[in-house]
Amino acid sequence: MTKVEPVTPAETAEPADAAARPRRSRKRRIASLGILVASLGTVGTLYAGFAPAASSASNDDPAIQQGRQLFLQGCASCHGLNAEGGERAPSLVGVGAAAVDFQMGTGRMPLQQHGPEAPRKPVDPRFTEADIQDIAAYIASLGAGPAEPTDLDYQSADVAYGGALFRTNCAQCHNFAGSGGELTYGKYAPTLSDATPKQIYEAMITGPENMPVFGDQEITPAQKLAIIDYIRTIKTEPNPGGAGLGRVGPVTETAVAWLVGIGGLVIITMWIGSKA
Amino acid sequence: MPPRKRVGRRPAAENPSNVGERTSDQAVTEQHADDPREQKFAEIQVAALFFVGIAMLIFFLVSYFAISIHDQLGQYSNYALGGSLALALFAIGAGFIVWAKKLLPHDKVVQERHDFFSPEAEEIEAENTFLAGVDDLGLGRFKILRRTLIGALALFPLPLVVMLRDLGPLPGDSLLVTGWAKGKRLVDLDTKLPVKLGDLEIGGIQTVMPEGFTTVDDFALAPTMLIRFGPHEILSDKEAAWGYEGHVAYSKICTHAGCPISLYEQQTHHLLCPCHQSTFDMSRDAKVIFGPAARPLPQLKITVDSEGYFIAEGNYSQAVGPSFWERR
Amino acid sequence: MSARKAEPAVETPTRPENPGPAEKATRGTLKYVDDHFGSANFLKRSMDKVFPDHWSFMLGEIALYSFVILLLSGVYLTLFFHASQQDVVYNGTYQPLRGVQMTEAYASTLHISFDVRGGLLMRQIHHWAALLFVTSIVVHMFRVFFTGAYKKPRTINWHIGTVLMILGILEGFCGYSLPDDLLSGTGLRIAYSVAESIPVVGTYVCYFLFGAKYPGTDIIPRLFIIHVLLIPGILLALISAHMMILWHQKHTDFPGPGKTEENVVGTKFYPGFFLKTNGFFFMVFGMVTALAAFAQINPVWLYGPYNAAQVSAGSQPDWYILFLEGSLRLMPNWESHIWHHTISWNILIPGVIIPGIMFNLLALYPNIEAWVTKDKGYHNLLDRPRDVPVRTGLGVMSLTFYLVLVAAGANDILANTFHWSLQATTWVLRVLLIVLPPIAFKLTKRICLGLQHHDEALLHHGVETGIIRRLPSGAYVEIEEPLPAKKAETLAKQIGYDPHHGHGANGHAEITANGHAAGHVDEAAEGIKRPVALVDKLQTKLADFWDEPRETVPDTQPHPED
Repeated sequence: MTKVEPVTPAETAEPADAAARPRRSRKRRIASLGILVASLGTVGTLYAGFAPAASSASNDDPAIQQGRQLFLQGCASCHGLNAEGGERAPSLVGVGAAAVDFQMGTGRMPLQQHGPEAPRKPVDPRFTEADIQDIAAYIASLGAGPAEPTDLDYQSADVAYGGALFRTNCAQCHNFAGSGGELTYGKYAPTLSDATPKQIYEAMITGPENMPVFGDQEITPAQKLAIIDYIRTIKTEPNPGGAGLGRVGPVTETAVAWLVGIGGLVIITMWIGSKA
Repeated sequence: MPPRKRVGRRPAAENPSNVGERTSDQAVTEQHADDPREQKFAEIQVAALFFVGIAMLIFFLVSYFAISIHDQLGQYSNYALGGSLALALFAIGAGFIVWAKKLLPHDKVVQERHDFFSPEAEEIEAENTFLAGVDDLGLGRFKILRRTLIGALALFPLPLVVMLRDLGPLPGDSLLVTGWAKGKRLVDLDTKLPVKLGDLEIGGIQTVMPEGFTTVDDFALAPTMLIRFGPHEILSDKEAAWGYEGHVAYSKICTHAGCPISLYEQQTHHLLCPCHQSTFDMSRDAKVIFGPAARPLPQLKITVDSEGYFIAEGNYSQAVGPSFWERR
Repeated sequence: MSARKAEPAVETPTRPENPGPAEKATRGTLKYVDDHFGSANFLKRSMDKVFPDHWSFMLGEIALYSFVILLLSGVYLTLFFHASQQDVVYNGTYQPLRGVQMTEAYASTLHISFDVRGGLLMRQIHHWAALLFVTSIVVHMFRVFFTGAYKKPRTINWHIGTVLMILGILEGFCGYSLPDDLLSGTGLRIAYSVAESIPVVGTYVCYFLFGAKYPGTDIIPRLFIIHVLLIPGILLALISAHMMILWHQKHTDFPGPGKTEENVVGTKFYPGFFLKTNGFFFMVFGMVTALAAFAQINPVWLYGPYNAAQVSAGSQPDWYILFLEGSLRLMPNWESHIWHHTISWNILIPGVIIPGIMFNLLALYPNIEAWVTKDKGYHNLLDRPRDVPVRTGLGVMSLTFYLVLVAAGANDILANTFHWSLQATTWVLRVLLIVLPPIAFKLTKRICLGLQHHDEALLHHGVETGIIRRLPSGAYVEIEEPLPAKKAETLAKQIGYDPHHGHGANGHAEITANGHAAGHVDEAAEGIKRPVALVDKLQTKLADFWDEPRETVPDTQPHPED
């Protein structure tokens, strides 16, 4: 599993003013949440790994065996008995544990129906967090692929640097504030508002569906953490100007100008013009 | 001259239409309360509105100094200042309107319109005055004067127009200059580090620039996408030949209106422009498959140098970005 | 109290016998001014000026007051804004951009937003007021168009109004581009590409405008001076002209009891209208401020600084440019290569030619209509939209065309919101752009004719009471109650039916002329007899189209008024 270190470039000395402080504590809260989720997963894995008298991390690993059983029940109908893929679904050999955790952890898999896009939905209740980890372990045992990230310590990353990277690599599809955007022929880049830091990280390294893959040589783990930090920051920061209007740009502003602005003023003119 | 209809001649007082007016006026006036108690009530209403205005303006002043602009990025400050000012303005405005509606007499007033045009005699006089002036000026008689005058007045604006020449340089061939040249390494837009073979995963895309890019001139036309395909995913021999081991480089500047595009779908190999939705098939020479763009994105011929870094084989072989007249 | 006449009977005016302080102050001030300008008569006439009361006559005032708010808030913003494209490194309060390289223009906009108390409020007031300015101009224009208020003698004021709208759009675009953020920079680049597509001179226009190859470092300072001096100056001059012409020509009004072509009925400017219109100024300012307080607009800090290699999904302009964006999006990808030259129809047609045609048609519409109808008369009473079906139809048709373009400008947001395919959305809008306007014309015209029919039925037969009577002969009839006299009079005036003279022999000519323009009927009749040249033929064809006979209700019952 990859261990990820935070980045602290020299040019971003922390400002001494008070404005930075509340953000920091909020981040801690988010971080502790992230750690909780991650540790739950780890406990599950550890339990699966250690509870029975463990032999070795080979194909006889009980987690892998358990994962294979779950795979055969829930996934094999499309992905094939040995995850070799089929007419309706791609091969999973070599996609790695991160892809499984992302696809099942965001509820995209198992797929409900075929369409241009696999939508995010609540996680299938048939699969617990531990089950997903078992399936991930099974898929990972089939061929080398991106592993799940741990210790996503993005709090000390450089948020402004992350913002620049976000605008170069992410904003063109996910929009300037991560609100999502339209792609070709019914496909779309989803909003990032529900994605956890871990899921964003996994999406970058695995390139789910039509999203490009951003490998660690292209965008380093430290840079990925900076991007995640930027997304978390703008997601949690207030809209200082009032209601955010969906953060999709001028289209919603248009609706407000016409309906509230001119609409309201027309009602006022009617009041003025009416007889006393 | 066509016959013109005169409106608004000084009217006879017995204009029949005014009869109806009086009656309707009467009705309105009767509704208006002359009752002192009702007037007092209306006065209190207006005064209350003005008082709200006063209170809100004081609230504005207090919150300007009391609320920090750095709390919640200034959200509290914006709510307090904007909310109080808006309420104050609404209250004052409503005060004026209630005042006008409840305390002012409501009689409708009829005003006659005046003519929109002058009596014919005046028009004739104006014409004659003008023509007499033309005659005095002698523009008909003094031919040389007239011609030189026309010449002088025609030349007069020219200095002002010519002086606009230095607003900018002439385009010349500069629209073909992109900052790319043979041997230039491909560097990342943000880190400015050169890109090595193997840095990109299959299905990856990276925004790259020519190494050493700094000038404003380079910036608009240089942005380039480096995309890595899996084996056999490139469907054009030319595209594969211009790339290197599944890596291809294409201009990021849309051939339609110049937006930087990189909405890349790694499974369909479609590339979408977020501005006007031109769609390019990146596995077939960036062919346009939808939208207003007329030409495929230009491809940059790349290879790898001895140290394993990507380099350009030269500049783009055609003009990058939107079309223009001089483009061949 | 009886109706007061604005022009009183001749009597010698007197001053109060024991003038109080208010009288003395008034007298002193007015005398001082009059001694210098001789203005007493003008002042008196101005205060007595009558303004009609209908609510729709206040729409233009929204634009006027938005303009005042724009001047006030704009001056405030210039005190802090630096119109410079020098690169700086941001070091202000907003954490997610600290240490980022950006232009001074963008950095100073962030400074206004996060480090000037009330600065963000002022920015948002300015931007909302700008949206309301253009929006109210357009809504005001709808009112003027659909009621025929642009007819002689107000045609030139319509032309000025059209120029004001176009300048308002330009002004808005310049201001929107000033912060040099990623979204506005993308818009500016598209504008550059549109200019570049102009044949022969395109690239020269671009280089002179931007001072260098795109983006250069001159465009923001140049746009700034255009935005704060050049266009506002012209706007100010034209708004003054617009208002002075209105003041001179007096307001139009809807037909109604006591209202004729020769009079204005309403409230005197002073004090009644003055009080209301001032109150309305505060209301408009209040609305703009309320929007600025509670609805975030143009959050440039989220867009990020402009960078020619970056873009955001869903890049849209402000609404008044949306139709241009839409026409660019719907256009097929045509491009010609002739003798080593390129003509990009895919930009030229939607970006230059279509808006050119649209604005020119809009500006010249009153002249075209006057030519077709041969209407040279003066008009002060307005039409109801239903009474001029062809104009209303043409208006709705154009509006439909425009709205499809606006929708196309947001096709990605629409597709994303409703989970449509983007490409399918575009295709549907392409078809609708061609198909919908003619349908809108037909449908509107039909509805107008239907409403006319209904009105005439009301006027001639009265209201159906639901009471059935049996006649001595045994037949059943429904009792119809005539309209109340005032209502009937209003309605008769609106549809151009003159109860004192009855229907004209043909009924229709009088009605299309709306009873206003007596000269019109004769000339139209003459026009048919004249030997026709090609232009005249076209005119006759169009006039026939315009005057297509309306359905009339047979006058079976005696009119209640007769």
